[in-house]
Amino acid sequence: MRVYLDHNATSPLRDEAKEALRIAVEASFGNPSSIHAEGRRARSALESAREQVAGLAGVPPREVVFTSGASEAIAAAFHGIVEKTPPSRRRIVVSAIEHSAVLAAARGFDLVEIACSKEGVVRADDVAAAIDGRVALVALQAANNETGVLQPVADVGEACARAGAQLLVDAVQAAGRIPIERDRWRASLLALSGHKLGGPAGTGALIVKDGVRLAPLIGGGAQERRRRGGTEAVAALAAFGAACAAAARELPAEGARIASLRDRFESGLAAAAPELTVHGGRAPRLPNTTLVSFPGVSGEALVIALDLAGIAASTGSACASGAVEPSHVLAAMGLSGASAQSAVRFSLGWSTTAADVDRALDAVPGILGRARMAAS
Amino acid sequence: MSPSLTAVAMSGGVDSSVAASLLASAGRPLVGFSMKLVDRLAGEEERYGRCCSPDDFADARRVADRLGFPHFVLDMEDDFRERVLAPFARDYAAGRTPSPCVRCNSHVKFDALLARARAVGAGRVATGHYAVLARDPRSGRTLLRAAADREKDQSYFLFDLSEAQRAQAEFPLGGLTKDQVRANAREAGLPTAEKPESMDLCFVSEGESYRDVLARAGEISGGGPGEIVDGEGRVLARHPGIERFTVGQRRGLGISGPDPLYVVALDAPARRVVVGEEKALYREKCRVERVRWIPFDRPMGPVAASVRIRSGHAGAPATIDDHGDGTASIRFAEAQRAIAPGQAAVFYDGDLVLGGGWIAG
Repeated sequence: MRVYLDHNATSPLRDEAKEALRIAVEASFGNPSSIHAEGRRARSALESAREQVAGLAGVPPREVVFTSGASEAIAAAFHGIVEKTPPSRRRIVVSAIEHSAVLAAARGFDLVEIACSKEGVVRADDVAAAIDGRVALVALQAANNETGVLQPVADVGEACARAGAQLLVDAVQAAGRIPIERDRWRASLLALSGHKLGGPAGTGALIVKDGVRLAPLIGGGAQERRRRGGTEAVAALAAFGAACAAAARELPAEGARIASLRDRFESGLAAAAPELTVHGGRAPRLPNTTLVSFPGVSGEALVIALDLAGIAASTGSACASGAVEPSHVLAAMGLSGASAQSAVRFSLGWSTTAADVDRALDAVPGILGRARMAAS
Repeated sequence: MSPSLTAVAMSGGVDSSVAASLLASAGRPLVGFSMKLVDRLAGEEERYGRCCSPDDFADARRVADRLGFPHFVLDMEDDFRERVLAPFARDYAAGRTPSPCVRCNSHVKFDALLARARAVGAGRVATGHYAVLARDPRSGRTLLRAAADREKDQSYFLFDLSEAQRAQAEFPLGGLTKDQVRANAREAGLPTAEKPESMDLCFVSEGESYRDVLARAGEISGGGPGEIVDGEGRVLARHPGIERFTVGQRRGLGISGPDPLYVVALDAPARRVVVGEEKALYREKCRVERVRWIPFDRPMGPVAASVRIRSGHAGAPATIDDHGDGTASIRFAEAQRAIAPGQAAVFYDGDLVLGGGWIAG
């Protein structure tokens, strides 16, 4: 039996999503743009999924634009907003700890990058100070994917509203783990991913608030109210919808359950290695994420040894070749090479049990001991 | 997690694939490692299609998947830069001809990689090298021998492993010919069975030279231009930097004369390239430093051996006098052409590697 503690990378498919996928594959054949019965059936499955995603995000269904994932949603947000903005107002503001999909989409623009604190928090005042009449779009994540640290999206949203800039919130890691409060955040755009909350990879959504003008990134069709061309992946999106519905239903109780497992896990780690550092541990965090460094022990060695012991965790971000690259998030938090290279991320989720946490805690002391011996 | 776990270094080529396959067939618990050595220097997209490229890692991963053991890519760029590339550049700048593959074996594969293997519970490192290791029951030492396939033999590059390193190393291909290895790969259905041989230096991409790699790494510092002189010290021409020359080199001197001229020596402090006729390249003696002996700590007296002065050299009869201070003198029975400082001189008794040292002058 494996212990899977890497939900921030991807979450196992929920049973509800599997069932929806099976039903859609068997019964919802058809192109949702067709006028015949088969098309209507597919359309119906697609619109049900849209309602379910909208339900989790707390928005009207018509604001949900389905995409192939969060990376596409983010690229579409940047492209769509900038295209509709006069050239005199195309400045972009992002935080230094955004996901690489955001940083890549922002490249090439007149860009302002906002630093974060040692605890991995972006200060709303710093963002607000960078927002003026030249700024088209501000991108801020609701929660960081590596540390789980929550960001002050509502305060930044207020500053954006004052200056007339659009706010894109990357809610990929937040969705299903904390409530999505689009209106309180005053976000014009939200990016969501299916596979981080128990839906299939290859699904995602860009939530576009009514009244926000967005040019399509992918043209060529009237799908998604002309905001995203291409025939919708009905079966996968049905599963995405089912996963969102399950996540929304379970969220209040599940948040508390995961938080208590995470706390138990962190105290267990601290008992085994009192010298450890939990990155962002003093900031408000998602209930499921622990990014931890054991001084003098390479994160890469720990993750490999954990994997060989049947436990899936992760370190840094993986590059094209699969090797571990230094994390830009930890660098932005002021961590040096050695300290950053010792970081290991454990992320819990819907499938995590108390037995999983205990098995991981049982394995850690031996693995740490061996890694320390080899390093000395 | 088992104490008998073995790490296999996998380049994505056919040799290391078959090494892994042989161990897997024997039921050995394995973990595969591929070393990322250079691509942060080169820019990832430029590295496709050569050693250490994501394509090779993908091949290694497919082989590991097929054989049923986990595979990981390790970022070893810092180790490689500090322990292989930087000394490689320093050698050139000092007028020496470096042996990066020897250093890579003793400082990266069987040191840094071995340490990482131990950190995750693997006590041994196996590679696709063509060489033979065998424990000598009398002395308890781990002996190194040339491979059965003399064409492919890589024992020269392995002479500088310590006893501890040899004891933890494993070369499953040592008894096989290259043809047998290919046949084995085909029979096992390995996806790397038909991959072409990798040639020359693994860290140099096609269409560039080692100088491009060093320049990109910011590692070249040869002291700048200097003079090309003959044996009597007469200035014949100027050169852009001594790091561009190696002993025995004929091309690229920019001097025309009745007889072909060769680089016979490099004088780094004076930034001088000394040239001469071919016969000036021949020498009967050389001195080696950082000497390592394998079957014993130190010889009792002069040692008769066949000495290889570079990887492509067949070996020549010689007598070695160990001075007891880490250096030794080598007297060849017949004068040898282009003995280059910086290269390894490796001592053989038949197929047994007695030891070796680094040519100092």
